[in-house]
Amino acid sequence: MEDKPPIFSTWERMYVFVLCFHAILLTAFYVITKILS
Amino acid sequence: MHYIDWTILIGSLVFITAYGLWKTRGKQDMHTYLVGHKDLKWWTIGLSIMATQASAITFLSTTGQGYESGMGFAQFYIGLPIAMVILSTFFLPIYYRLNVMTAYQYLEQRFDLRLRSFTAFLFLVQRGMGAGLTISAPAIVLSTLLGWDWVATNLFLGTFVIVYTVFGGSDAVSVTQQQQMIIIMGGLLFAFALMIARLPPDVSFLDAAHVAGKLNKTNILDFSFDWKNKYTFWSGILGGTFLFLSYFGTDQSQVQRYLSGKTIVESRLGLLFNGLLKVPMQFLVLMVGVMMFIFYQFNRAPIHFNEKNVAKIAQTDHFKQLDNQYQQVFEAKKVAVYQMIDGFHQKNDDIIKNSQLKVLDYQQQEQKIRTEVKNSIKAADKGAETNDRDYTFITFVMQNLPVGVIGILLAVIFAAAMSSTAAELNALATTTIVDFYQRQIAPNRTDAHYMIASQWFTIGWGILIMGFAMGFALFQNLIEAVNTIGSLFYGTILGIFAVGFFLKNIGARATFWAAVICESVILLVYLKYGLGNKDFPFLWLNPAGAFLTVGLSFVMQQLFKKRIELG
Repeated sequence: MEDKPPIFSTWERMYVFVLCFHAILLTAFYVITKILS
Repeated sequence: MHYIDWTILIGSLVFITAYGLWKTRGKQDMHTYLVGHKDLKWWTIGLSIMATQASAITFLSTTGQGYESGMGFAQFYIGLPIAMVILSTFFLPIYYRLNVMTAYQYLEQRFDLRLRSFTAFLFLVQRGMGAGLTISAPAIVLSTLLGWDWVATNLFLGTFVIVYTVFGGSDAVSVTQQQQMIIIMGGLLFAFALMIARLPPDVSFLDAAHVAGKLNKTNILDFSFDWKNKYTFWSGILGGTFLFLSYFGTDQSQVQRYLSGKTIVESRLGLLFNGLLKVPMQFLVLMVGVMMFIFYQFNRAPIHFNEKNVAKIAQTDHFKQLDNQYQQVFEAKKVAVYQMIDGFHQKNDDIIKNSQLKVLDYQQQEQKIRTEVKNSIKAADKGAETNDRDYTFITFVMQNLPVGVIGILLAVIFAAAMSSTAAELNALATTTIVDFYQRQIAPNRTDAHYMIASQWFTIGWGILIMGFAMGFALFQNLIEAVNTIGSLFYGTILGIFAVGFFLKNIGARATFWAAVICESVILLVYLKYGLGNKDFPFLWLNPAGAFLTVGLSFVMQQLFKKRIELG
């Protein structure tokens, strides 16, 4: 019980959240690169 | 410098240090002194991890990278969130289960004392050199630009850090880092907002972003497979992941930060907090550099950013002639930039294209003049360092920002220098005490003895680091120098830990000799191809070192097994 994260119930979901956030960030970087150049 | 800036600078540094020492006052034993009371919450751990990594070099040098080469350096950090997830899953539970004070204690439990000592030694060598650079780099830049004595700046920075690390120990480092990180982030956001406010009235932020894009400053992602290109998506996601796995997973200066968590949950959340915020933070730092570039499209940039160098040739006719040419090119370039902005407003691709070509051509002319100035400086003083990239941000701050803001931004740079150095000092002392002194040199002494020894080792390392700092010069870009030193050792260290965690059949002897061979190969390759080569793709040393150590360990294990069978 003590080992659970405060949000998302399991650590696996927490990790997926971090990686999805990162993927969104990279997509934003890709869009910035394409649009501005 | 104005007295208001001095007051802000000194006031904020003294306040942070005093607060850290007051907050962590009370009796300590060796354990709490070295790794803290293990009562930290995730946000303190997360900020502490970020502050340890973000040294003054981050602000002096990364902004210079953004100014000169654009946003591509952001790719260096692409692997970081992935590394945080891997560390939370595999490394952290092992460290918590074994209740270790240093990462290298695990290696004795899994292998033997020899491999533990070897890995701890590699850490001490690379971190000692890295810490020297973290103090010397800002000292060189600040002393040159502000006219301070270089030795005095080194001593001021070093002594300040040594005092609060010696008296407060690990907890004081973490608590002060929390305040330092708040100053760093606040200062950065403030600088960014101020740069937008300093754009000419008829130029919007969107115009500025488009200009930056057309001048190749917003190319964040590069998917090419060019080995000569240091920063690509692939080097970031592969080389970067390995570098950060090794840095955060096996470098005691970081391991010590997250092992001070109240529970494994707090430590995990601290690591993930870093994984979420680090990339946006670096993006912001680089954006400050790009905004500085935009600022200098409308205001004349210094012909050379190190004023002390310029003073050496300022009175010569050749320099005056170059300066005149530089002014003319700047005026013509400014007109072309305004034409480009008109093109954006009219959505006229021809105007945009023509003005873009003109600006790029003027930029080349400016670059030629700057190179000639550098050559003249070299001719006047053969020993002069003409790489001025790391002076860009601080010159911009000193010449263009108002009184008060200068003090805030200098406080950012000093806070960053102190936060990373304090963590490094704490980690160097911890490794020396736990992995060498207590384990091998003077076992079974009283806690009071080890406590005093820890303080003396902290002082000793502090003096040694300042010694290293005095020996460094600006060989190349600072941020690359720090990461290159790390990359020379991190691959091997990560390989040793990877064998320990995942290949249970491989023993201590095979892993030790594999690590020795691998480290020798990495150093030889660097000496032959990397030394003095500013285009050397150092990030690839991390996966290469890790794979080579793992592969060689496997081969050696088979060889040793065969010898035993034959014997």
